[in-house]
Amino acid sequence: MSDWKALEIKIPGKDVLEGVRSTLEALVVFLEIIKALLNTISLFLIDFGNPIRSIVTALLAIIQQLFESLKRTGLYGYFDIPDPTRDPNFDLYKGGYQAFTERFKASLFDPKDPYRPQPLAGSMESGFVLIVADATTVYGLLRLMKILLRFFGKEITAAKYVAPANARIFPAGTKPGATGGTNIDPILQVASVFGVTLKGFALEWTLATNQYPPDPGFNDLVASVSSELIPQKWLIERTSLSGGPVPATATAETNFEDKRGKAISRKVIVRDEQGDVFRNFEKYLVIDPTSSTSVFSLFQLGKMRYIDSEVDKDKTYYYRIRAFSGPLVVGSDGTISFPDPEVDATSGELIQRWPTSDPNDPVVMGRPSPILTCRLPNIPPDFDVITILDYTFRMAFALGFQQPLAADSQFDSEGRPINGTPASEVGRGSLTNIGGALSQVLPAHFGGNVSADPTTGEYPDVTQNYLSVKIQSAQLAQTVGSSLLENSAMLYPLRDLYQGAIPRSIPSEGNFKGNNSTIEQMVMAYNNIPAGFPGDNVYYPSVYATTEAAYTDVNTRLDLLDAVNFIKSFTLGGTPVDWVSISLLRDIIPWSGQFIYDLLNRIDALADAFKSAVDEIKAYIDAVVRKIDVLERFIKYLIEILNFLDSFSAGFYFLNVPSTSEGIPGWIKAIDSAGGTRPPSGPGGYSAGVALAYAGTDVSSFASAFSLIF
Amino acid sequence: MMPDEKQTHPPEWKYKEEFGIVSQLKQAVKATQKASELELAELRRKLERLTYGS
Repeated sequence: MSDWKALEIKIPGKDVLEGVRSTLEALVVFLEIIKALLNTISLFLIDFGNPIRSIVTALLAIIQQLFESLKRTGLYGYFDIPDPTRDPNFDLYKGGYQAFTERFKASLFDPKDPYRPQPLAGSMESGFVLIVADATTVYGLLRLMKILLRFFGKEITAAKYVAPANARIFPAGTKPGATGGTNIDPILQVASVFGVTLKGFALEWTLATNQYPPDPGFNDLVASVSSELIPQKWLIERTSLSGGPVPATATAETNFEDKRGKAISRKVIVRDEQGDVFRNFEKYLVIDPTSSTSVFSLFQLGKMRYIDSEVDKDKTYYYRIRAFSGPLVVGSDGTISFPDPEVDATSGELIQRWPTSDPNDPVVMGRPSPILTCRLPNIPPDFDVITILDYTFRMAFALGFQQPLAADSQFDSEGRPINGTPASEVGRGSLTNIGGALSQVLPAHFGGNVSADPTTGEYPDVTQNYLSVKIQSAQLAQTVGSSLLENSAMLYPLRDLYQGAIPRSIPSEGNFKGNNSTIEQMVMAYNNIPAGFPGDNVYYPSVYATTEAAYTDVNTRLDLLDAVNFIKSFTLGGTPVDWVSISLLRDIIPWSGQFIYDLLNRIDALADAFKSAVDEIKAYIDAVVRKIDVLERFIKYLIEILNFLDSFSAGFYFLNVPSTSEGIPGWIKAIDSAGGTRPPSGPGGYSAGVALAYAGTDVSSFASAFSLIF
Repeated sequence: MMPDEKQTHPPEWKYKEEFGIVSQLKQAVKATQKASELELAELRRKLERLTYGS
């Protein structure tokens, strides 16, 4: 049961009253601030002769009276508020306001409580005010208590959700059921991305494990209660703005002034309730396990997955995931209309709160995951990018493109070898930097002499079939494929190059089909090697014919070099010349700079001639400007005060019994007979609150003070 | 408050979105803000006349 405590400022040596004295002192300090504010307003209004001045003056007089009253002794405080360290389930606060008033009445007769008010019936006047927070949920009650205690200068910790763990994002698309896929499936590898029709992104995350050390205070307990007992909802934040989500800022003034006395303003970062930088996203998606059985089941398994299919291709998206509870207001278009940031009473920082549809059931927002980035590449249909890249690199390495170019090689303007340079030099040096361990691998060149090994009966292998060549080519294909996912606009030009008419005709030998083929068909034909080759001891003339034709044919090598250079140009290093910055006036129209400087000099000379007269006018204008600046700053100050006052807005139920001479029986009677708008939660709800009471021979000043405050 | 009033009018529960003191302060601050804005508009007009007027 909550005890009454004497609200007396000067009681030395009574530690038990420390907290309560702080409460009253906080109230007195609060009033002092209000008094100073009203004094400022009152003085300021003299300049205007405004009728508001009389209102403010009257209010100031009441505050002064209240200030004096509160310094007197004889005030009692009753704080019937939750203590989760003793009552984690909030059982004591169940039962709605009826239970609250029963506890309140019982406290008046508690013989073990020496500080309970005991006004004598007939000889003393007494009165009290009850402030009741009434909610249907534990967290609604906690939120209201937080505001109420902040009004009295105290803070309690709200429920907290930690950030989800293992948050990941992947492109997702349809995958044939025959390959083990489902309708829409997250893709884990770059190679797989190109093999499916991409539809959206798959986000995955798991519930964070509470690894905090035991905390005797609110933090650990409330966080555990909130995350383990309440099926939290999830908020997915999404934006596609270039650069990602934008940190929220507001303009605030510093204490520094410029030469004209104008306050220097600066951008201030707006923070969330946990003190992190608040970031604005374009769209918000809510996942509610309490309304979806399947989602709830997944949640119980510890892993959550969400497929976002409402995304555009070739656009980078930024995501965050966070747990929350409460009726968050999200528009039908997925946007959130945020209220103005509030000034935090203790830290002085700007805090962005989340909008709730019920002021008595707040939104408790958890910490977010790191920002996840993903992009849906626009992949051309019928173009197997990874295979094409893989085979292109295999063919290039097999033709010796990773080997250094001979020093005496000569080529004409079209890249054809001249002056005795052999065709096998075409393309050499183009992959020197990315050949890796293949620098010692030489092209297979048989010159028509292909014969089986007399011992094993095995025919010679071709370079494009070497394991080392395949591994290096596959790695490069993955690298280039990853780069293409980031820069998928290049996929269509790449496809056009490979599937368009071949630039130079190739021979009709081996697997090559001559003039009618494409670069794609060329590299596919070159790598068309039977499954058992070469270990099956079967002679495959087409493989050797193709390999030999490609090695010796200039056109084939040049066609392949085109493809290699195209891939290199956007993935494997930039090309000169670099862009440089230029100045329009200085570099493009050099004469104009001098002209403008001359003009400025003449204007200066003209201004000097009028300087004396202008100075006087300027001084007067400066005075007006300065006054405008002061007024603008004052209005901003008022707006900050309004924001601060707004932070106390919440629905409470008040019962004010200003004065009775009937003692405690009179209090009981007043509570039992009180009508009006009673707290509605009923037996299933949660109620807590504060009572402030007074007693004495004359309580009129208390009564007026309380009616003013509450 | 008169004693007979206490007897004849039982107290009533009231639901409020704001504390009385907060409400009154907001009223005073808003009124001051409005007066300040009017004065500011007047000063701006004066500055306009001084700088660009006849």
